[in-house]
Amino acid sequence: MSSIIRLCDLAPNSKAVIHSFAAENASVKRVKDLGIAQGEEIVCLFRSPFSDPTAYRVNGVTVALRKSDCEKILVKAYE
Amino acid sequence: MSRYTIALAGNPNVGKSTVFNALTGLKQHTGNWTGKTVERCEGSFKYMQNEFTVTDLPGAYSLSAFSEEETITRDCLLNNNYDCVVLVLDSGALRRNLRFAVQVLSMYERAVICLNLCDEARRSGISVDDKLLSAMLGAPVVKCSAVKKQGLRELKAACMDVCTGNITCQKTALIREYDPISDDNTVADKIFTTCVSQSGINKVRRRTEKLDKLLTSKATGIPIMLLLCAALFWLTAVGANYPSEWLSSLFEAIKTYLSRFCGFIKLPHFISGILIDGVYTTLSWVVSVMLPPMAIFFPLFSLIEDAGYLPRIAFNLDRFFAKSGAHGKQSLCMMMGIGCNACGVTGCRIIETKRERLIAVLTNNFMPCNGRLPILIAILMMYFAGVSSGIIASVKVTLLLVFIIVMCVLLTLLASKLLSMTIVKGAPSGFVLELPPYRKPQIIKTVCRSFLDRTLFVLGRAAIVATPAGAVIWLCANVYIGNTSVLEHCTDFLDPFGKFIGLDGVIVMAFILGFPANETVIPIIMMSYMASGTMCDYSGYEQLYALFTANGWTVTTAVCMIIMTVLHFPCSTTCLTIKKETGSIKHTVLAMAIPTISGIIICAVVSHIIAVFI
Repeated sequence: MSSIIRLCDLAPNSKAVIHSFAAENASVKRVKDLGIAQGEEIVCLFRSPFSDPTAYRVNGVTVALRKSDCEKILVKAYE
Repeated sequence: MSRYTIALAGNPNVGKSTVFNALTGLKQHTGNWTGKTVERCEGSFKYMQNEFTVTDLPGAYSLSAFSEEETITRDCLLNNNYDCVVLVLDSGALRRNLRFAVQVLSMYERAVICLNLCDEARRSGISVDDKLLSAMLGAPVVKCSAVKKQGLRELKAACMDVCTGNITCQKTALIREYDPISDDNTVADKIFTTCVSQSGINKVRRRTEKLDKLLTSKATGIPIMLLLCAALFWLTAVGANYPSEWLSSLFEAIKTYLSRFCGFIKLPHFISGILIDGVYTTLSWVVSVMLPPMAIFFPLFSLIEDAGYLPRIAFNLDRFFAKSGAHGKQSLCMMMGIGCNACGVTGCRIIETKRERLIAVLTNNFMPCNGRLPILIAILMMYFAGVSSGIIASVKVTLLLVFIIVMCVLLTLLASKLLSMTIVKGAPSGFVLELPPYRKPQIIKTVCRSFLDRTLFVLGRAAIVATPAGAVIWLCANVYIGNTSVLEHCTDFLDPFGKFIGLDGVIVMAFILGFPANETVIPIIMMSYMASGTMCDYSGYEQLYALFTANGWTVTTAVCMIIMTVLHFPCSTTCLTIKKETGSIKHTVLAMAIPTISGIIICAVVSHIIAVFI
């Protein structure tokens, strides 16, 4: 079925559903304000030429997030 | 006639500023990225004999006030009793936009929903049922495309209806369901799924994805970025030479007439000296050196900005900035800084988080601006390319200049790192960079706007400071105490210090007097060496080289001069801008002290090391 992984471990071109947040701090709050909330579908699009940050599509918009922030976001990956 | 107040609110980068400009006819700078409006901006328009005052609030993702802009937006909505709030939403990204709309509507019922960018959404295959949306939100909904000036009349009419009470807005049962404390999205999501449908292929997204593959991939992203930057700077540097020459010969001709006129009305020598040789010469200098490169650089930069490419540069380079505790968008402020540091500092507004923005403001001066690049080129030409003109020399100079700029970038990163460990300590703020769809820039409009907004604005500020500076420089050179001029007294006094850091008193004094405009540094040095009372331009590098060498310049002096050119206090225009942007004298002083102190230390060390070997 599906497993829970950190968002930063989600490979490009794969989809997942946001499961939970591993921390509650200012930077997680920021990410949430952008509409990256529990139950939301998120697609990993591509990584920057130097492998960080990574672009994701969520809520119909494309946003780039850093690995350090993605480590705190847990997602349920589609098989 | 009645007066009403309206506020524009919405997520970042939904075209609030464009709507604002379209409504009021004001020229607020717009661009395809988030965070253009930081301060509130006000304007007004008349419609059916009523006057409406419009406030453009900064973009906010939510009202929970994470960033400075969100705090401003929330406080404005809470403290001002606007007659109507226009919620500007991006029709192509309604899912997220509606959440903000629901938040605002739950505390503010008098509202008009403006579905902006609706033509782009149509092309993306997105259709919105505006009647249903209006019923669910309890406020009138207007579809518009502010860029194409479509739907503006309807928007104005809706605003008037709400302001005058023709339409009474009411919280619908659905909006009342929303609980601001739990900040739940179910209400907004329900509205979204009911009113918005997607059919066919999303062409806009597909084009953006294709371009992104090209512009952000490992193989092509970085080379394209470097080529684009190189082209931008090359066009600026080469293209500016000709208009610069025309301007300076024009000003020269005017000067001859002015001098004749002064002679004709028998103006005392002292006054005509201050006015013509001091104020006029400095002013015309600054204009002819600064105007052409800025008039080329900023419009081109704005075109790239409008197309939506800038966030991709920040995306490509963020890794390095993350390591320095800074934000990827700082790379864009640095590019603007090469155009003009004052613009670069203003440009730091695009960084949403306070800490990262402060780092970018304090380090912007490490990028040599248009006023300083010519000094670097002159020194490189004379001391490292062997004066000889021609292809080989210009290639040599270009390579050395690229080396210097790379060093400047490294210095910026190092300084950012040091700053983030000391003065602006604290955890890095959450990094979120939106990558909006690419849009076709409106070439003529963008070029005109950026010329008016950025170029003339900076030029105006520069002129304000160059005018008194011209008078001071002339007075220094022409007021005598005993047998020597004030300028000479100063340079003699500064000489031991200058020598210690590998320069001399004249150069140090030139940097001090060049505070209002770095363009005047070399002319002041020449004026002092020749002990003449007026500044004049150099006709060729040979002549300048001979003059400098006769006054004791060596390769060490040249190296230290290059270091000092990059590392000294920002010009007065930039300092004023830093004061304005940070609102803090402490930070302005820091921005002056950091480069100056590091410049002095590096110069002293380098000159003493070279002295050991030679």
